[in-house]
Amino acid sequence: MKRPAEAIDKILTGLRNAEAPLGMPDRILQAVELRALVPHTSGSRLWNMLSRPAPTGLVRTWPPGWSLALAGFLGVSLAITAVHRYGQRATPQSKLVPIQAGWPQRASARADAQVAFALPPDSMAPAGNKKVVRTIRQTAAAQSVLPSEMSVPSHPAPEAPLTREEILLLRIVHKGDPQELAMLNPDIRAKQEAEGEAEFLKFAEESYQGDHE
Amino acid sequence: MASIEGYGLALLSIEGTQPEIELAALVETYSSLLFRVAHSVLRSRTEAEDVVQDVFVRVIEHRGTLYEVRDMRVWLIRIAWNLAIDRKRHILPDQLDERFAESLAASSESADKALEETQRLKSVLREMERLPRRERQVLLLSTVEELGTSELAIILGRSESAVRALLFRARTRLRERLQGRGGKR
Repeated sequence: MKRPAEAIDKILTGLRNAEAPLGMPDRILQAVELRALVPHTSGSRLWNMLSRPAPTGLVRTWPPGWSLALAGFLGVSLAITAVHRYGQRATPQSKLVPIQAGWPQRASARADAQVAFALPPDSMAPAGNKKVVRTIRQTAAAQSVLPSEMSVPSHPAPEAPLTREEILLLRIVHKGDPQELAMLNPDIRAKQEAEGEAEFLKFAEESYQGDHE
Repeated sequence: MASIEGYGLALLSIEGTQPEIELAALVETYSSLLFRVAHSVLRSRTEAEDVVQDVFVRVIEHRGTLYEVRDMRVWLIRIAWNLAIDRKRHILPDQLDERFAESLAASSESADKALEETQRLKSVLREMERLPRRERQVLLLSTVEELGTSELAIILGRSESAVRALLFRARTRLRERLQGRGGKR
């Protein structure tokens, strides 16, 4: 090659003068902020492959057919997630089933405790059984997720219609009649009924004695 | 530099006890440098930008232990360097090199000359890839102007004198090989 030093310098100068594309910091911040909001569940390699635009023919391990299939799958799963989240947000808070946030953790903690109780500690297990013990623990841990997932309400329970008694109660409450309200107390009601019965008996006795006289 | 207002991702190392590290400030300060580091390995602007993005994703992932990082600059460069090398294993370097060589040769006068120049630069890049690993790494990292010999030594885990020797040997070997190729023709 003629003038190799010049060619080397040209390459090195080209690398040295490489400048970041316009707007790169903004794009990076947007992407990183998005990643910070979305929980990181899959491997970073998969994310990289999915998130970056694959130039045709450049990627060795990424056939174009797979890209389309994966893009479709990703789109469908994102749509399902979005619909699910929208449904949860659109529900008024007062209608949510009041299962506390700690409930699933308690269930899973209980399951863990049961597993820990059922299995011997690692230090007690023979060396050959450690792998088995670990496998059982992993399986038990995976199974303990199921009840916790089942206990979480996927949909809030629909509001049941009022019974006849409840409707009557509401009417009384909204009318605000103190006598009727007092009658809702079973003790007062029983006392009043006893008084009424006593008055009636008294009246009946008096009228009976008056007739005979 | 593009405006980065509106982004306030604060990376709390330990709540209340450690100072906050602002992601926007990190991106503004280091993204260009990291881009050049990644570009020296990948020779592709889009790929290098992806690597820079991945670096800051790592920053988010390690926000709990950031206070342990002594030298943020070297730490970020190391991540970018390793991610770029890792990414290069999954792409076809010849096609990236061809584009890079074309972009460098584009200023040539005629199409014939540009084509000839592209081929010449591609052969240089090919020979660079055939250099011994340490020599190649030092040669590529030395193209990042912001990095001095001492930082190169820290990033590559070598002494400063070893870095100088490797750089000298890389240049000499590359020149000799290219001259040898010309002689054989």
